Amino acid sequence: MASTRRAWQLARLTTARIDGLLLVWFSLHLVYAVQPYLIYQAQQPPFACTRGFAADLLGYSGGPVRYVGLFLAQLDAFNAAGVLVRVVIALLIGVLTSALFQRLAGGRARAARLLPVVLYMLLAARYDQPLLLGPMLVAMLASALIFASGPTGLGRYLVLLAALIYGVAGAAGPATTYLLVLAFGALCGALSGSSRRLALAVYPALGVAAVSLADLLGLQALPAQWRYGIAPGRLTVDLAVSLWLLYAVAAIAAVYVADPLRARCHAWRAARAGAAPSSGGRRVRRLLGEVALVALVAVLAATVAADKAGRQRARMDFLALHGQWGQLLAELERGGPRHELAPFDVNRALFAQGRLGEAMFQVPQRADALLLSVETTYVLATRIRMVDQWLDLGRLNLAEYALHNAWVLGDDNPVVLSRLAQLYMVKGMSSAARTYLRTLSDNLVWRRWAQRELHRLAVDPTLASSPEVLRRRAVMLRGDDLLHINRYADKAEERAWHLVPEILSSLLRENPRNRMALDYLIAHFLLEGHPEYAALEMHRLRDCGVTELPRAWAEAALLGRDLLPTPPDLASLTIPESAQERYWQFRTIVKRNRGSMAAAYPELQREMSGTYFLYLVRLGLGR
Amino acid sequence: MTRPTRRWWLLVALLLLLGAARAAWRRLDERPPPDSQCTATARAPRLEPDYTDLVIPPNIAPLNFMVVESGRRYLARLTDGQGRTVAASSRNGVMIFPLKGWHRLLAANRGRELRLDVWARADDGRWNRYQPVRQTVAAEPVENYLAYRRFRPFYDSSGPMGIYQRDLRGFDETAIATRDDIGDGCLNCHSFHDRRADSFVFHTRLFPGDPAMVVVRGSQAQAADTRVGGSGPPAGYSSWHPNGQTIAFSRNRILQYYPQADRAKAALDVASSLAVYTVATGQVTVPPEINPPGRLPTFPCWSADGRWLYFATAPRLWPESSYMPVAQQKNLRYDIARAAYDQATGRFGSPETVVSARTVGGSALEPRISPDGRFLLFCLCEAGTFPVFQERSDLYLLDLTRPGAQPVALESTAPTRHDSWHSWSGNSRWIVCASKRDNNLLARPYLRYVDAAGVASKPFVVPRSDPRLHERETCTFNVPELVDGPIRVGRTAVRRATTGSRRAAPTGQSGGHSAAEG
Repeated sequence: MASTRRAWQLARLTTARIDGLLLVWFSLHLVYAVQPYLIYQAQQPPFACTRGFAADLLGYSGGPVRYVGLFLAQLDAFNAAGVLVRVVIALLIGVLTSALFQRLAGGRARAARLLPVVLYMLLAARYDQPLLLGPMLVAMLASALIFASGPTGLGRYLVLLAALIYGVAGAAGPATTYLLVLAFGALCGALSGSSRRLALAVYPALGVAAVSLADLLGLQALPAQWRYGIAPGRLTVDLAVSLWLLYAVAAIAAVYVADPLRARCHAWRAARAGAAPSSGGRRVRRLLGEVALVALVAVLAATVAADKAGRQRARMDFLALHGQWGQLLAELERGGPRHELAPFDVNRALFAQGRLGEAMFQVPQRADALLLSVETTYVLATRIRMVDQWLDLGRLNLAEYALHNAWVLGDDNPVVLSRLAQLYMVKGMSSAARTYLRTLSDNLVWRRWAQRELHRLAVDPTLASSPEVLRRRAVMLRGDDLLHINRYADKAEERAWHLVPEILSSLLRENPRNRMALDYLIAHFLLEGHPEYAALEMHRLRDCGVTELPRAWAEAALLGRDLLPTPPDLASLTIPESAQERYWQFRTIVKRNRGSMAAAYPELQREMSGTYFLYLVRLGLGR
Repeated sequence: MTRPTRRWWLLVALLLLLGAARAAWRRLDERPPPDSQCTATARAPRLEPDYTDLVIPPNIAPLNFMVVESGRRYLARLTDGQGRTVAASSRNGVMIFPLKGWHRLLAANRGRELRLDVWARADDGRWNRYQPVRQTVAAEPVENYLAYRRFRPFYDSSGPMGIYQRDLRGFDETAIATRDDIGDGCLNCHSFHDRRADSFVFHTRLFPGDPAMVVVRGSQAQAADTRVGGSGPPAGYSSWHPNGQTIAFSRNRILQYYPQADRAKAALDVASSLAVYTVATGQVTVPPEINPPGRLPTFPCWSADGRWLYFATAPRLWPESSYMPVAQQKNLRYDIARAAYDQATGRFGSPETVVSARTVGGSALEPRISPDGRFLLFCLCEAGTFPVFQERSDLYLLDLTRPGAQPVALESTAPTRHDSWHSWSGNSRWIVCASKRDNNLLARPYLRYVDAAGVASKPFVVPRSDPRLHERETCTFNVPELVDGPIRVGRTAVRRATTGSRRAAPTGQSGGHSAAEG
């Protein structure tokens, strides 16, 4: 008897060790590989600490779990809190699943109980999955345990099912909802004691029918912005669905294997009765096995389940939207994977570092990689980049247009609201700015920033003492040039896009010292392959206090000087000798190849790397 | 009694006790401090919204407000001549009056004055008592419901948008139709038959899909294609004839454009015309009498007796073929005209100018006739078709019973108003409008009283359950229309009508007045 108890204690210790190891690995994985603040960045979950926001959600089915999910998702912004939330959810799932398997399989199917935990851990590291999947799973497991905690029966099941449907239906997509009620039905069926097999047939079907009925009656009615809908017709298969499906199958399988498993366990326990305590060698082997299991999970997390693209995008978005250009440039220069916005980010970062004219062609360039155009994307982070670009350039109305269109992509997204507040502060519409700031002051993450800005507005309503606002006001366009954009009338947006030089020139007419507009105008001509136009604009650099042309600008000026019938006005702007040497070298190589760019290209590629000359030749050759 | 039952009873008793204690505490908390503890402040308290010196309807929801004074406790009491009161207290200045007590007090004081006292307790423990504020309860109620469109400003993207109704006696808001019901598209410009909740129209623009006018009668909704010949501009602004059988509407080719400085959005009617829809037959006619060539008629409104159709009209300043006459916007000024209507024949007389743009020095738009037939209320802005996008737009009142009378501004002193989309209550004593006066960006519904002589009182924003919501609302409200009861048409019926299963066959057209296309 004593030896049986020891064996049990040992088994429990082993379980605790595996759980502990998994949790430690999960915490480290979250801290170093996932970084919840990047998940927050990728998802920007809206949340307000107001009664209205809660009432909005809690009044509908599916609202409670979404409310909890959105609240917990706020904590991601504070990295450590995000890690803690996920670890606690994983722990809860583990504890609840253990308790369930204890009832189902008599405490011996310990490996199976890890399945949902591991699945959750793998899923929790994805950047596109809302956090509410964890609370949903916890709610479902807890409901099943509550079902089993008293006399089980149809009435108890229906009450819990109704609570579950109110709590979660429609909150995370149709597939998830259906799988959840299926799994819940299966678990309750398995926990139904003597009527198990009948319950197993009836309960999941009842669950599906109840959700379908709720959908038909419109009871799911979660507000549009929160709802994914639970109609079966919209079932899609993605990673989350696959994992849930796997889990549902596992839950149902657990029911069918529970009895044989339990019989085996009894037999195993009987055989072990009176056995000697584990030897040291066996303990080591077991320990190694556990470590191997955790290592397997870690490998899976690092390979199959890793969302590298999501992470990289979230990281770049974070750096770009927070204006951390130096770091962004450093990461891109380190040669990390590049996403489609990298060329735009590089140029923006180079400008912010004051190196656009110097280093622009030392990084790969594309002809359209300068200004993000109107409506080119439905990705929120891209639109926010576009907003920032127009705000910094001084095209406030274009920024406003882009912002309001970006707003559609995210429900009261705090980044959008913060930019709206900033925009109206620059425009001098402080009452409008206050509206957005007050909304933001209800947001857990943005509260401090919003209250600081509100205080600034209260102290100085015109913000005449704010350097940031003054800088933007100094470059903002004040005279109207009536650029028409009518989306549905004539697709004029595309036409508007060809007006880039006009957009930038008008800013320079407004303020000749708008350095960003000038640098971007010159860069635009260079990227388009018109160094002569760029050279014609370079005299404006004097207004910005430039005396020596930076490397790329100087190379373009030399080319432009030769292309134009009359030399551009470059008085009092010196061209560095190194640029002149490169220009002569370029001319020599081209001459040596009898003027054939195609023939000269290999040598140019070798000798003229990082120069505008090489970019121009590539552009001409279409490479 | 078994132990679990006893436990339940104990719990219930405890909850009741807690409730009673809370009520008692609240009553104590709302007692005014004795004068010995008060310091009189020689000014009225600063309230947000500014609910001071108003004329309010006897059936309006509590005017909850924030006291914007420093303090650590606040108390507000509304008292009538008989000493009856309703009070609110808080620690953060958010004053929320009890609904029942508020209504009891207002109902007992129709046509009389109420006095609002506000106290704020300073850090040293003394109370500051502010100058009392007077509120007058009008004898005439306003309609119980307000219907409006609510959406985010201000682009044509597919953000949340819907037509909602609000119970003005309380704070309940329900959706009549939202973007969810129609798919990707726009919902606009609802119009009621004599403020009746069971007869109204609104318009949809679906992307992709055909535009439609959704006609709601009782619990039924039906969509109609009002485009002549299945093409051309769809219905824009509409007005029900008092007989309930005819709807006049404008057909506008609207150009939205985006200036690069100042206001970020503007719009202009490049072409417009007026048409009439017969509800029973679904027939659309474009009467040539009210659509003279070279003019831009829009914003129709029937007179209360149905004998006149009022509308705004301006000369078209560009050739018919012009596509983007944006530069002319600043020169475009609308008159308000009217044309006689013969109900028997359905024919219109020649238009006559009622308000001349030259006389009033601006663009006169959105005419609305008071139900008693006495007043013409309209919007005056500097130029153009859309007051809502203008830097300034003011409401003006013209007494139609006084020959030679000149329009009078409802507010002559306020520096910025930004009012538009106004409408009348059925008793002609209340005006509701959408006003951007708070922030020049987001419109809110404002109510104001107009006495029999046409003198308007100070407007006030329609109250909300939590006054903090006023300054946090990021949506804009427009086309506020007073309605006599709750709109009962189901959203399912609206959804069916707009998505096809209850769409009327293409309407028969007659008239074929191509000259009226503008």
